[in-house]
Formats: sequence, structure tokens, C-alpha cells
Amino acid sequence: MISTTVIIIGGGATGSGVLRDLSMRGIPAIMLEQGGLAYGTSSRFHGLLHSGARYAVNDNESAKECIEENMILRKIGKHCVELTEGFFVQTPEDDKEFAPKWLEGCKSAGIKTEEISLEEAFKLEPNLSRDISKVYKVPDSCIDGFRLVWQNAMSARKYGGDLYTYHKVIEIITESGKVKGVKALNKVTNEVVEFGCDYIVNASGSWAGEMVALSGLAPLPISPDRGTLIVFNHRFTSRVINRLHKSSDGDIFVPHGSVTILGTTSAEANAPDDKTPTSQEVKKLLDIGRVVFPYVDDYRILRAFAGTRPLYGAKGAGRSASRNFNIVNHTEEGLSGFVSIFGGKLTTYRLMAEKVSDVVADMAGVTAKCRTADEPIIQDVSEHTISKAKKYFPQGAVNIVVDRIGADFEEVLNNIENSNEKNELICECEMVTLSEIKYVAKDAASYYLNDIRLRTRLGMGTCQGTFCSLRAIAALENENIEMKLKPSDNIKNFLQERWNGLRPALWGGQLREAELTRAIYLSTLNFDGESYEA
Amino acid sequence: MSSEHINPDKCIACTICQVHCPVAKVTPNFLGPRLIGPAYERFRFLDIAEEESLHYCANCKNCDISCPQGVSISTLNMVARCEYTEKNGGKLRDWVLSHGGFLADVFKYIPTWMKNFGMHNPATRILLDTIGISKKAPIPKFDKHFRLVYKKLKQPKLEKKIVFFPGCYVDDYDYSIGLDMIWIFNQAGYEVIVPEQFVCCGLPLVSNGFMKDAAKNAASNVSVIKEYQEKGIPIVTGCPSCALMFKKDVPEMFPEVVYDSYKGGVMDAQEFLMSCVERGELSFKEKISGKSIIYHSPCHLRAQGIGLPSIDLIEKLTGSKVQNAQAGCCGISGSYGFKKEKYQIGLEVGKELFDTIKSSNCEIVTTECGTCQAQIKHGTGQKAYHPVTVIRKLVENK
Amino acid sequence: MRHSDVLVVGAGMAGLMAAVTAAKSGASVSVLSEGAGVISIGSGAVDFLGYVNGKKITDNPFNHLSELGEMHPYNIIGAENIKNAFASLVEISNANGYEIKMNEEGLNHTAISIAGTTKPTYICSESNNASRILKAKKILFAGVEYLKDSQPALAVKQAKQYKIFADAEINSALLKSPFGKTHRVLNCLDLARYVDKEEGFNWLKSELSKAAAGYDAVIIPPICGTINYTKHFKELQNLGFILVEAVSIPPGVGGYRLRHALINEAKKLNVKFIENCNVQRAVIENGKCKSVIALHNNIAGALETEYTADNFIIATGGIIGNGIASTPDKVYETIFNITIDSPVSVEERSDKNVFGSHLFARFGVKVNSKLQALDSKGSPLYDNVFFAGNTIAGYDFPTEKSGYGVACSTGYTAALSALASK
Repeated sequence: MISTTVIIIGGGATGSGVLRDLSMRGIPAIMLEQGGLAYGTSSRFHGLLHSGARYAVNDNESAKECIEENMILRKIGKHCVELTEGFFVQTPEDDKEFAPKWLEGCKSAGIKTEEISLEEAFKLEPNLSRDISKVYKVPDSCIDGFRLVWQNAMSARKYGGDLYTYHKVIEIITESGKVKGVKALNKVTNEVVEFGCDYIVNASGSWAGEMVALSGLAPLPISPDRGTLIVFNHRFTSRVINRLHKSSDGDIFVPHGSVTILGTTSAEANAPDDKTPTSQEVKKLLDIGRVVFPYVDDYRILRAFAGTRPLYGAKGAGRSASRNFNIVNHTEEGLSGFVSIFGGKLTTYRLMAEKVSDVVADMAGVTAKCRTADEPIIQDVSEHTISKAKKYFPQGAVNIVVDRIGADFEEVLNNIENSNEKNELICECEMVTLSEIKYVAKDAASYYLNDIRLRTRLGMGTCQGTFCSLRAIAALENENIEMKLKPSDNIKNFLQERWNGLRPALWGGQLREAELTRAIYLSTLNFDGESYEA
Repeated sequence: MSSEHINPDKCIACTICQVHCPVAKVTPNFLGPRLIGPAYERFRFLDIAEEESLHYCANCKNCDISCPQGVSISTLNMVARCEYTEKNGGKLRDWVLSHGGFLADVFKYIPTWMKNFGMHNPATRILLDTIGISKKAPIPKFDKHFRLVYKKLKQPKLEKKIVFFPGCYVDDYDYSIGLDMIWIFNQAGYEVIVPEQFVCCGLPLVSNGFMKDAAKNAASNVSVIKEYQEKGIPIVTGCPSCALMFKKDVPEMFPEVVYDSYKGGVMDAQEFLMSCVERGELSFKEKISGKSIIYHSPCHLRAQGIGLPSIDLIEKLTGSKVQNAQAGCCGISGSYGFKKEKYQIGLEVGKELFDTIKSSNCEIVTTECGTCQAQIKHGTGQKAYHPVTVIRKLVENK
Repeated sequence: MRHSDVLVVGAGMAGLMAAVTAAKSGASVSVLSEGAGVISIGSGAVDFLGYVNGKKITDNPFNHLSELGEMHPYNIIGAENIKNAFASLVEISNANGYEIKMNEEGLNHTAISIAGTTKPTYICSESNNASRILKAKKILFAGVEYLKDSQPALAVKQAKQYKIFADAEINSALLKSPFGKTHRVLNCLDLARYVDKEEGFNWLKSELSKAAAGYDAVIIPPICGTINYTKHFKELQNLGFILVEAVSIPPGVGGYRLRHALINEAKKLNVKFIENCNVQRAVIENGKCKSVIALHNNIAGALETEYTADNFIIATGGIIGNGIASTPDKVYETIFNITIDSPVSVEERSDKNVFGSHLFARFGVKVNSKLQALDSKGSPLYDNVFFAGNTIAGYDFPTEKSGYGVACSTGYTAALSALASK
């Protein structure tokens, strides 16, 4: 049995935020995640670091929280936040009465807005529809959810925290109304592992209700709501573009590194992991998106994906449900040491983590205060290191790689310098080199090629894994780095995961790409027939 | 299709462009068209992809020709290069090589012998070598300026009119091609107009990163083209690079300059002459055969998607058989092969063509592009003539 | 000038095969192509039929054609045409510098890939024929330092799982690179081009001799040359072990060699090539195809050129070659705008399993035995238009392993049909 003070269930933004906060306060904590890190909603959202302007009219409290946290995250999360800005654009389909209400709401929430001339707007974003009649600048920004979760986790490790991926909590152990520990199923080895603890933080997002039920308490009204998003192959906007109207489907375009994301929809989900987008949803998003970007049909869709929002409240509440977060201390229900946190937005994850860590610290009698708003999640890398790195990485990509790897970048660079290898470009679409892949692959939390993908963006670009999955697996084999599946299965698994998102948008350029993928893996490499011959 | 920027979406990363890139074939220092073009373009939208090997792209268009998806790879590369040049400043050497048209125009009243003395004496070549223009490069000798010759020319009064865009090679280095062109159009019943306002098509400016200068030239040239198009007078050019510039690069890089009825602006002169042959406007009574002729297709002609009209033109008009060398790129690629660090690459790229020409033992070598002609002479010792010149010489029995 | 007896759209395997077949009997042939064709990056192995309904074929593939159903292009054109097409391809390739062979007993060869997987193929070069090493006792899988897609450790791990290699000892090694680290990581084609030169050939010979001591068989990536492949590979066979070239992902080198041979033959037969030519649509007059219209440079609004011919062969490469286009709502053939039946729901176009047999894989134009496109009643749409290759409906080349086999045999048959239609 592994003992600690706090078990955190859920390896998403909230969970990793709590892990870091507690670890920084000196409280021993272990985070358990049922899949790879950020398996849940944190890897399936828009990528938007809200200014809060979207909630200015309907949910001013949320709006205020958003802008405050936005400013904090820009400071402490420089390596996972992309500093862009946002536009709110009024199209002919938008109610003109909305704008003044919105401006009022932003003002009262403390969100800076600035109207810019159409001429300037179109110069900055030439792909926008010329039918737009008003444009306002807001401090929206972009955040990479995977990186955020990983960086919080890495920072937590430095403070003594620990994490286990692919460990699904299957039992909550209690004794005389007190939490004693959990049992988790190690999904890689199929063994059951027992953890002992004094407190449990249930930060499992859409699964929060299930975790509460496991403890034997009355069920929580968490209704997962599914949102589908589309990923476009290239970055046709450098700014977040919002529709200036009452929040609705498909009204935000977000640049995300080399791609653009359009979302989202809202529908009651069947289950917490209902992550299958439909082609109907994709077509609907395109119809709405066309109003803002008239040539949207010419932009190649890489894939569609969906995630569930853990909404608190009655089923089917959809967009009218509150985006506020909630902390429930189950001590009041007779189980002491068990705290759930749910709801909220990724933008406010740090605040959520702070508040729930305060509750835990209080229960544990620890007086250390939260410092997460002050200390950067990872330290910057020196200019000197960056210029050295230009010799081994694609020149333009060094800063991206630093953001992706974080504080261990120096170590990675040293390893390359001391070896004779050529730091080969494995994923040409997303500029991922061998050193990055090796570094992530060696991490204890990485078991599958998919884990490497989430941290490095391998296979997330134009070819969706066509070339890089084989190259990555071959390179790992060469370096003797063990992964959990045998190589051909790892590749199949990886391509299958990509395929799930390709299917609902399988037309045009991406269908041609799929043909090339099949020509390579089936026709030349015979990965489908291989099993018949073994 | 249309979006406000050149869209890299069509690329499926198949590597066909890589296989056919003549520069990638001979040097591993060049990352290759696919990476430099559509792959890095996705990162240029983030303002971050600098790539040191960008300058290796020769803008030969072989990637465009071989891409089955129709990606405008060379345009993406050139736009990236221009952005790089704007950010970091252009080299003096590149300025000199690309502003040749401008410089020649400025110096057009200086006697030819003086210009050649100034340019081709060993001291000048060494000086040029220090700024990066290889002293071994086959820089063509100046000739009398074509526009001055044209001014003094008397053409027969003919009903049909045609506008001829000479291009810098004809203007500065070989006015006789211009005269041959006028001759053959006269034969087909067209009086040839060469508007004074035509300037360099801008291709060398683009290839060397001077986008703004190229834009000015494009705007200027296109307004002249528009004027004649509105009068119903066709515009042709005998140089495939100029033709490609007007047909493809101008609409892609400077869309604000073109208009609905632009339709590529110019036609390839040889293609137009073929249409004259088909309409019965052009023919010669005597058929001359017996001379062995080998033709080199300039890459920029192959990129126009009109096949190789010169072969048909020579065969139809003279009865001779023309062998198609079909041996790839000559290596000079406009101003590229003159550069010190690219000179050897140019020779290696062109080797297959030189060997093919030499082993063919053909009496006449022909190609439309002026710089291809210079490179072929340099690599084989044999002078190469413009197809229209070949036709004239055969018809006039020279 | 812009009229030919036979006009071929597409210069991949199907288009080139159609062009040379038609030109051989004296017809004037033009080939309009947008790009250089996937053949230039393929492995060069010509697959006839490897699997039927998921089962591997271990005897003569001709015995299994009936299991493919009558809609399959092989059954539409018939075994005779397939045999003749393959014989013709072998002849052409051998006459133009790339030696390829069929198995003497009419069985599939076994090829081995750079990933260590094996696959059945019907016509391939001697170097790609790994059947020669199935009885070897000690096999070396060699890669080359700093060579892209040359990771023998994976190949060995993979190969060791096969029953056929159960009794063999398989090891991996890396040959020393002749260039060291380069700015652009070299691929197989780069090394193959280097081996074309004396200097490169000597490098390969020397490295192989060193590494192969004690081995019966050595497998390397496809780097034995391009234009000088045949000569150099012959010499490398005398080193005391069986040398095999693995089939590789793009650029596969073998395809480059094969294409070179076909283009050379086309050159000899005076086939006209119009490159970078984007055919937009066809002009139909009196129920026949009068011409196709090509857009210059693929720029909207540019000039168009009309190409007339007596007969047209459409070898536009299916989905990957843009011979078939798809939107969220429809799927159609791009030149004649023939609608292709597809389900209303996009999800139904594909199978859940990424390696499954998808509906879209069989998308294409339905044809009769002459390879003319059919209307809904089953009558030919246009008498003088014939289809070849991936644009034809009814087969799934990646799962069947039938890609170049269908392309080659339908290209050949389309040419015969075009020649017969006068």
C-alpha cells in the first residue's frame, strides 16, 4: 500500500492544479488519473483563455473571475499561454441591441474593450467577412490544455507531489465516517493498487458524480454536456474571434499553435466520456462559422473532437447552466475528509485549485498559504540556451519546443550535445524532433504513443500521424525505449485514435490524406495483413 | 477558390515535390520544397519559421509541376523569402542580380562595347565575385538595347496588331531574338507593337526577395496589358519565365493588381504562333529537313501547362524533326546559378541536360529561355538558339 | 496540334500504361497530367492480389478472381487482359533499365518492408523479392546511420514475430553513413542517387562487405541506385550473401525507377506530355466526348486550352489523384461530373476500424468490360471515353494488395478499347 496525505482523483487542469498547490504548501499528495494526463475535458476544449467577455451579460460573476485569472495565468503560465488578443464581431445575423448590454457588462466586470475601425480589423485579420459591422478588441488569449496540465504536474513533482496515470479509482475506502484510502485499477498491468490517505479531493470533472456514488453518498447532479469542435489545418486567424451575441453554438474561432479551432456545440451527453463528434455537428458548425469566415469551406478540416462539460444542475440545462464552480465538503454529509470540486472553466482552474486546497489545508491544520498566483509554473530558459538550441532544432521552432518541454529543456539540450546523434525531425508537420519524443517517452507517466502525442503534438498536424507514427515508433525501438504495446499495435492504436476524429469530417483534403495513409500502412507496410502471418 | 492568403491546405505530405526538386537532388543543405513551403507555412502564420536553407530554393517550379494536389509550393517559398528579406534586409549581390532590367534601362544609352568592357574585364569579375557573383558564371554579354533598335525599325503596314513583351534577356543581351520575333509575326500578318512602358516582369525581383519592387513592376506592366486587352490586341512574350510570371505569379502574389478579364495577361508567343498556323495565317512553302535539332524545355515553360509548343512550331513550319532532350532543369534558374555559392549546384543540376545534348550530336540546340541558353553554352560549348530564330534561319536558308 | 488519336488524362501507373500501349500500335498519344503521380514515390512493387475477404492468398492469385465478385475491375476486364498487361509491363520495364520479374510458378513473391513486415506482391525487382531469403539461417537487417526511415531495430523486432523466420537468427546493424550529419536528413532516394555514382557504389559495397560477414542474407533499405540500379545490384549480388532491398514508405525509390522506365518507353514512342495541366471538364457533342478543357496553372480565371481526341482515357487516380472529389454532401468524378453513390451520413463512408475496408475505398465510376462509364441503366455514358486505375469503382487496393495490378491491367485494357473504337 502507498501512503500519502491527500489523494487527488482526476488528472486534468483542476486535479493537477490542486496537486501543485498542495505540494507547494508542503502537503504530500498523489494524483490518480484513469487515462493519460488530461484524458478528460482538459484535452478536449476550445483552448481559450477567456477574458470573460463571453459571460459579461449572462454571468457577470464568472466574467469577473475569468478576467482576474486570465491576467494571472498570463504571468505564471507564459509557456502554455499564447498571447493573442480577441475580437468580438457583430455580423448581420447578430442582434444589434446586444452590443450596448455587452459593453456595460464588460465594464462592470473589469474587462477592457476597445472598438476598432473595420478597416483596421480587416487589415489585421484579412479573412474575416466584409459583412461584419462592428469589431471590439478584448484580452482573450489562448492556452494549451495539455501543456498546462503537464507543466503543473512537473512543477508539483519538484515540490514532492506524485502522480499515477492509467489508474482508475474503483473503490473509496472509508472507516467510521472517515476517508481512509482508495483502490485503483492499474489499466496497464490490470493489477489493483491500494493507496492510503487522510483526505480525498474529487477533481474528476465529468466523472465527479460517479466518484461520489462510489463513496456511498447521495449522487451529485452532474450532467455531462457534450461539445463538439472542429480543428482546421492552418491558422487562418491570429486572434480569437467571437460573435457579438448571446452565447450560442459555433461562435468562437480560436487559433491554437499551427491550427485553428472552431466550436462549440451543446448537447446532453450519454456518459462522461461521450466523445464522439457527429458529422451533423460538424456541418452545423461550418454553417455558423461561414458567417464570420466566408471561405471556411475552403479550409481543410483535420478532424473533429468532442469533450464533456461537467455541468452542475438539472439535466438538459445546457447553456443556461451556471459556469461557476462548486466545492462540496462531504464532511457535512457524514464522510469526513472527502471534498469534491466541479464545474467552472479551465480559465479559472488555478482559483478553483486554490479554494479547494484552502479547504484541505484547513482540515489538515496546515497554515501555509497559496502561492500559485505568484510563482511561474515553470521557470524560463535563458537566451543563451535558446541560441545554443538553434543548432539542433528547427530554427524557428526552438521557442515552441521550450514551451513544450519546459524546465527540463536544458537537460534535453545537453543530452543532444553530448551524443553523436542528429536530432532528427520526426514529425515534420508539427516540428517535433527525436529528442523531444525520447524525453517524453522516458517519463514514468508515458505508456503509449498517444501520451507522447499529447505532450509534443506528434501526429496532430496535417498528416495526422501518417509518417510520424512509424518514425516515432521506429526511433523509440532504436533507442531501446519500452512502450506498453508492441510496436505494430502501438501504431495501430495511435492511428485508430486519430481515425475516430477523422471520420465525421472525412471529405476533401483529409479524405485524400486518408488514402495516402492507407496506401502506406496497408498497401506497402501490410499492417493489416501482418497478423495473419505471425 | 479564394482566400485572402495562399492556403497550404492541399498538401498531403506525399514527398513527390521532394523527389523532383533538382536542388534537393544535388545538395543535402536544402531542406526541400515541402518542408520549406507548405509545412513551414503553417508556422509562418505564427510568425516563427525562419529557416536558414530557404535561400537554396531556385524558384524553378519543378515542385509545382510535380505536385498532384496543385499546391503553389514555389509561391509559398518566394513569399517566405520576401518576408525574410524585408525583415533582415536584402544583400547587395541579390539587389544587383535582380535589378538587372532596371540597371540596363538606366545604362541603355551607353555604347555596348563600353558596357561589356566594364562588365566582363577580369577586375570587374573579381569585384563581382567578392560580392557573391561567381567569376565563373556565364553572365551574358550586353548587346544593343532592343528598344533602341525597335524604335528605328520599319515594319510593313499590317491590319492585325500584336503586342510583344520582350523581357530583359531580349532587351539587354540579344535583340536579334526580338527582331526574329517581329519577323515571324509579320509573316503571320501581324504588326508588332512594343510599348515603351513595359519594364522587367519582376520575376528576378521576387526570386531575390524584393517583393515591393516586383509589385510596382507588376502594377505598371499590368496596366499596359489592360490597355491593349481592352483594345482587343493580344499580348505575347517569347520568354517562358516572363510568361509564367504574368500568368501565375502576378495573380497569386499581387491579386489586387489583376481584374476579371485579365486571364493571365499574356500568351506564350510560340503557342500563339501555333494558333496562327492552325488558322492558316502562317506557313512556309519550302520544307527544310536534314538538320538535326534538339530542344530543351525550360522549367518555367513546363510549368505553364501548355505543353511544348515550340517543338510543334518548328516541326510544322519547317518539316524538321525535333528531339526533345527531356533532361530536367539546366541549373541556372534565372539569377540563381550566377551566385557564387549556387554556381556549382547549378552545374550539377544541369549535368544530365549537358550530357544529353552532347551525346545527341545534334547540329542545332534550341530553347526559348535566355538564361537557359547561356547555361547550355557554358555547359556544352554549343550555342543555343531561340526556336523562332531557328525557324527563321532554316527558312531563310542560313 | 492539340488533337490526338488517344488522349490520356493522368500520368500515374494506369495513365502511363495506357499511353505506351496505345502508342505502341502507332496511335498519336498525348498525356495531360497535373503532377508526377504517386508512382514516383511508391515502392515499385506491383501487387496483383494478396488477400481476398481478409484471407491471404498462397496459391496462384488467378485462382481467386471469382471470389472478388463481378463488380471488381479484374473480373470486368478478364484474366486474359490481366496476363497480357503484366507481360507487357515486364517487357517495357526490362527494356528500359529496370528489371522486374514475376514468379515462375505464378505465385506471389514475398517482399519485406523497412518496418519488418512482410507483404505479398506479384511483380517486383529481384532486389525486392524476399522469397529468396525465407530459408536463410542468419539474417542481417541493416540500416544506414542518419538515414531517414531506416531503423532496423524495429524491423528486427517485427520480423521475429513471423513463422517464416522462426528458425532464423535476425540481427540489426547500422552501416556507416558516407555523409555524416547533414542539414536535411537524407532519405532512401538520396542514397540511391549516390549509389548511382561509382563513389557511392563503392561505399555501399565496402560497407556491406564489412557488415555482412557471417550472414547468409542482408536486408537494406532501397538504396541500390536509380538509373544504375540494375547494373549495380547485379554486382552487389556477388558478395557472398543474398541481398534484399526492403520496400519503403515514400519516397520508395522502386516506384521512381519504374516510372523512369515507363516514361523512357513513352519517350521512344513519341508520346506527348503536357505537364502541370489541370483538366477541368469535358465537352460533349452528340453523345460523344469532343474534348477536354484544361485550365492554365490551375489559377481561377486563367486561360483555358481545349484538347480534342478521337478517344479519351481517364486515369485520374481516384480520390488521391483528385479524379474523385468529395464534399460533405456529395462524391463525384471530376471531369465528367459523374455522381457517385454515397450514403447521406458521412460516418457511413468509413468503417470504425481504421484498417477496415471502408466504403469510400470502393468509390469510383462504374464501368463495363470496355471500361466505359455506365449510366444508371447500365449503358455506356460516352462511347469514346474509357476509365483506368483508381477512378474505377469496386475494389479496395490497400486491403486486397491490388493497387498497381488494377492500374496496370485497366490502363492496358483501356488502351485496347480506345484503339478498337474507331
